[in-house]
Amino acid sequence: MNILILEDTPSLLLSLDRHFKAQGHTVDLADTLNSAQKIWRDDPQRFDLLVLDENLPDGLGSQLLAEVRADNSDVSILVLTARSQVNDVVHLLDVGADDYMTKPFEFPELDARVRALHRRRLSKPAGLVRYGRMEYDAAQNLFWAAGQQVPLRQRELQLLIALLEAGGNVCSKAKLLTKLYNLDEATTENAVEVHMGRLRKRIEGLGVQIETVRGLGYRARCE
Amino acid sequence: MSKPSPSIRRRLIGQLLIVFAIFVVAAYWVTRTIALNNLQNAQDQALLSVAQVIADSVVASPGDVLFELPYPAFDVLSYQAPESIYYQIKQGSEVLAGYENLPRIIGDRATQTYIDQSVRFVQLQKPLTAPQMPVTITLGQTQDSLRYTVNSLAIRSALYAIAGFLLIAAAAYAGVINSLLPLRRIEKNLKNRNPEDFSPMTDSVPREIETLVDSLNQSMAQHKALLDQTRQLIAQSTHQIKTPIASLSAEADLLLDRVPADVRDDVSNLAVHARQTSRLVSQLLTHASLTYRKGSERLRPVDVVVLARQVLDSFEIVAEQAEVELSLHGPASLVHTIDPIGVREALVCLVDNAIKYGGRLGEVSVTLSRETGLLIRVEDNGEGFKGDPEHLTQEFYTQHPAAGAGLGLSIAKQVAVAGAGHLKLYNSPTQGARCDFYLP
Repeated sequence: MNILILEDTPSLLLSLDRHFKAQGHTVDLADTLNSAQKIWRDDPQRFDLLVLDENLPDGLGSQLLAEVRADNSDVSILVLTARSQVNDVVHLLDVGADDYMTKPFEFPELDARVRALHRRRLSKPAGLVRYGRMEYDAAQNLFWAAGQQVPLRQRELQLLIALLEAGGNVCSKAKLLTKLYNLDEATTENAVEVHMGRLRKRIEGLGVQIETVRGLGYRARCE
Repeated sequence: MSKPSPSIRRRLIGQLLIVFAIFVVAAYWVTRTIALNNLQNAQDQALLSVAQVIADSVVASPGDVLFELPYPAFDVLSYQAPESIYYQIKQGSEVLAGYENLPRIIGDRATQTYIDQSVRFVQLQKPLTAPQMPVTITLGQTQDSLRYTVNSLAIRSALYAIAGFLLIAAAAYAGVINSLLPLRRIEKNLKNRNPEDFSPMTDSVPREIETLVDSLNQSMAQHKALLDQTRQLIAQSTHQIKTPIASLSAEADLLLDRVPADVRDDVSNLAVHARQTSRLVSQLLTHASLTYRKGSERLRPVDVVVLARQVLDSFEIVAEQAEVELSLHGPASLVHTIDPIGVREALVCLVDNAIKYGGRLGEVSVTLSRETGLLIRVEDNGEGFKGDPEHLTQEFYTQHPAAGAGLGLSIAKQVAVAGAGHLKLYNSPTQGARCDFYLP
């Protein structure tokens, strides 16, 4: 992804830069509202995500936000704010932010939010494999149903893919467990049952049944 | 607070009682003295006239003294009251007639005790031609009816005094109570005030206590200014501190991937501490900003279902990381008049706690219902509260020092109490912790 980061605290700006680059993203940096506006106006089509700080020495991040939305750009915008009061946050969402995080934040949560924002902007490609009323988009790693993304959490997605790839054969809990967790994560087969229960609820009515095969595991059956 | 001095009312009653006692005793005593003097004079005059009649009848004859006792005159004395009469006609030391042992009288009148009675005596001397010695006529009358009359007059006078005094006291008491009314109004106003309300008192008050009210208003304004200043300082310094902590936390996270294995634990601790500090700072800011705006909170009708949905959505990423399932139960729409900002913060704190302490793979459910008021129930299926959950609503009290600052439940309780509701924490009969956030 191409990301423009606007943040006036140098150390935080550099941390964000290093972090996003380590994830393989391309990053542009700005430490004032003015410089960010220049970079944006220079080539508005270039960016997939803007990460904006709200409080800046020469203005508010939401000023750039307003300008971007006035241009009818649908680029994802994540606001970082030290102002955690809800009325500030509600205001940011009202003026067009897609999401916000209050400082200080944690990188794993930042990554998850960035991924979620990225997913939201994806469009459904043609020629996908159909399972029941769902279609699997392997390239973007998500399921579509009736033109919409099926809201699945990462582990539910992994379970569903494992079951569908087994092509109706039974998958044991132990095997599914290895798909869900790394070896160094302490967990039990109960975790598989819990996530399976949640997955069933989320894909209810979408034409894929998950059956429990007593003592053996699970298998998926498409209508 | 200093020990209160006795109430104005009690002091007034005390003083009135003292004046009252003096007044009644004085009325009794003055009436009694005047009545006694007057009646005594009248009795003396009557006795003297009868004694004079006896004296007039005394005639000296050679070697003898002749006199006549005027019994009709004695009757006159008895008409006034059934009193006993004692008399004595004496020449030198010889008693010519009457009672032998009457007490000795000095002067022409005196009250003496005779046969255990108070008796008024008058005494006259009639000189006779020589060589006859003068004759002394002593006449006494008991004073029972006189004293009875004097006492009843004095008591009646005291009773009139009591009645009059009671009327005056009632009027005075009513006057005092009436003039204390504005003070009572001020007291009530101050007592009913929200602790955050520093607006000046505008009640119209008598001129005498206008200065007091002015001083109170001025003092409240000073307190408000001081409090505002302190809260603003907290809010601003928290803002200022957040960004450097964010940098610290981010640096520690980044460093973790690049440091040699032997120092990884130390760096990991650094990241954990930075995160703990960041949580504390976030909650402090929420706490400070909620307190700061409490006085000016805006109540308005809000669809609580929409609000709760937004809060749960904002937790989705965190919940996924914790492998916790979030669910919302209740009607499709529930409009209630609340302070939306406060309630949102309270719900954020409750859901955050439930995710954090409910445990991995757990479930956190938010149930909205309307009974007498609005009930938001947040429950998890974790291990529940240990010990008395009420402690948890105290600021900075936490059962998990590593996970939170101990402000979340205190914030939720603060919002509930500010809205005249309550926050009840208990373990669910089935499993897990349950928080009932209620607003009327």
